[in-house]
Amino acid sequence: MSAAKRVQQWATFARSWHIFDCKWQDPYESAHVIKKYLMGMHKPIYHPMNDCGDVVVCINSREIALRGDEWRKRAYFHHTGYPGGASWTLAWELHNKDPTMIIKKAVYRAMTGNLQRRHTMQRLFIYPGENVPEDVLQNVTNQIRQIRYVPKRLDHIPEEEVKNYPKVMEYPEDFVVK
Amino acid sequence: MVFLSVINWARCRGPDEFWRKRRVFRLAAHYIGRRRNCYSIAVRNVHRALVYATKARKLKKEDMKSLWDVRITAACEQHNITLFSLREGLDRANIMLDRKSLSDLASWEPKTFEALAAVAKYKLETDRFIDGQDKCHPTGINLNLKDVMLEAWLNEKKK
Amino acid sequence: MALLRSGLQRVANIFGGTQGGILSRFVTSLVPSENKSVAETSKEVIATCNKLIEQNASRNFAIVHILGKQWRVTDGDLLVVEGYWPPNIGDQITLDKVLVAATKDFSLIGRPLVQPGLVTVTATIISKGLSHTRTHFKKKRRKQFMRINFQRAQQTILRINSVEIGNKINEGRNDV
Repeated sequence: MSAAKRVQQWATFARSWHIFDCKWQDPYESAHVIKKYLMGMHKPIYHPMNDCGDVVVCINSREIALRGDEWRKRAYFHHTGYPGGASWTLAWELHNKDPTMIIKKAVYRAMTGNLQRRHTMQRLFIYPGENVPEDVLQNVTNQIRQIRYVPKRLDHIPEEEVKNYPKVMEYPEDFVVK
Repeated sequence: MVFLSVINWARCRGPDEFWRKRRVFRLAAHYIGRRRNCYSIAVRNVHRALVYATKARKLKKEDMKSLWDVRITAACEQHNITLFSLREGLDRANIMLDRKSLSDLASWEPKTFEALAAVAKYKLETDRFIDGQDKCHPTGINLNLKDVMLEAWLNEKKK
Repeated sequence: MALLRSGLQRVANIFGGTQGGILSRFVTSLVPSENKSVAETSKEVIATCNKLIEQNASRNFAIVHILGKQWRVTDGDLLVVEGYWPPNIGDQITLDKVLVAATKDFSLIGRPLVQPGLVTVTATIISKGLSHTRTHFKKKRRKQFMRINFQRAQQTILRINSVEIGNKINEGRNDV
C-alpha cells in the first residue's frame, strides 16, 4: 500500500467527535440520532463489524424534555438479583439522582443488544450542564443538529423588548387574567 | 410371482452403521467436546446446523439488503435527500440501479453518487413531486415549509 | 484538478429544463456556469469530457447488468456469475448492458442504458463449473419429518479485459 493510500485509509476510519445539545430535546427521539453517529451509520462505509463509529458528546442533559406527563409516569426498573430486590424509579426521581442517566439509558436501549453495544456506549460522553472538560471539547469538530427547535422563554426575553412589542389590543381594566 | 427385489429393498436398512454415523461425524468434526464424539449428541447438533444453514441463505440476502439500505441512507443524508425520494427520482428518470450498485457507488464513487442524487432531486422538482415522508431531522430556519405546503395545496385544488 | 461531473447531457436534453440546474452543479471551477444557458454549458461539459477521454486520463469503471445482477467492474476484474449462461470457456464477449460508466472526472449515467457503442466492456470467460454443494435440509421436530436435498449452481468466471469509453459523447444521442 502506497503512503498516500495508507493515509487515505487512516483518514477514512478516523473517529470524529460530535457534540449534541440536549436542551429541550426528547431523549428517546434524540437517542436514535445519537445512536446513528455512535455506530457510524451516517457513513456510507458502515458495516456492523467495521469499527467506524464516532464519538458523541452530549451537553445540557439536565435540560431534556419528556413528552406529556412522562416525568411522572415513566418508571425505570431495576432488580438487585435478591428476592424482593425489584425497584421502580420514576423518571423524575432518576433525573434528580443522576441527570445523565435518562439519556444514557435511552441511547443504550436504542441500540440492538449485541456484544458491541457496551463498547459503543463508551464512546458516548454525557454532561449535565455546559461545562465540558477542555480535553474533550478540543476534539469536537461537528455539531449534531437538534431535533426540535428550542423556543425562547418569555422570561428570558429582556423586559424592554416585551414592553415595546406591538400589541393588537390592551386588556380592558376589569379583565381578569386566569 | 415372487417380488424378491422389493422385499429385499424393504428389509435394507441403508449403509452400514459405521458409515452412516461417519457421515454425521464428518460434519461434526470441528465441534468441541461431546458434540463431536457422541453420536446421539452430534447428530442433533448437525441437524440443527444444517437447518440453520438452509435458512441463513435466505437471511443473508435480507441482511445485505438492509445493510445496503443503511449505507444508501447515510450517503443520501449528506446530499439532503431521503432514500425514498432518491429511489423515486431515479425510477422516474428511468435510471435502474439497484440497491447493491447504489451502495457500491456511495462508498467507492461518491462523486457519481452525488450526480445521481442531484439527478433524482432535479427530476422530482420538474415533476412537482413532493416527498411526503417526514424528514424528521431539520426543523430548521432554512426549510421553507410554508411555501411547500402552499404549493401542494394549490396543486390539489387544481385537480 | 477540478472535478467535473456531467450528470450527462442527456438528462438535460430530456428534461428540457430552463435553468442549468443539473449541469451547473457539477461544473465546479473549470467552467463558470452561472451566467450561461443550458446549451452552452452542456456543450462545454461535453467538450471537456471528450478531451478527457482522448487523454485517457484515468481508469474507467462501469456498472454492467449480467444475468439479473448489477456489477461494478473495472479493468482486470474477476466476476463469478451464477446461473445458466451459454458462453463457453475462452469466449471473448462484450457486455452491452452498461448502466453507468465513469472515470475519475465525469460519469455517464444511462437511462436505463448508456447508448450502445459509447462504452465497450469486453470480457473473457475463464472457467465454467459448479458451485460448492449447498445442502437443503428441512426438519420438523417430533413429527418424523426430514428431507435432504443437494444442489449445485452453475458458475461462470469472467475476467474483465477492458472498460473503454468511446470518444463520441456528442454523437448519435437520439437513440437514447
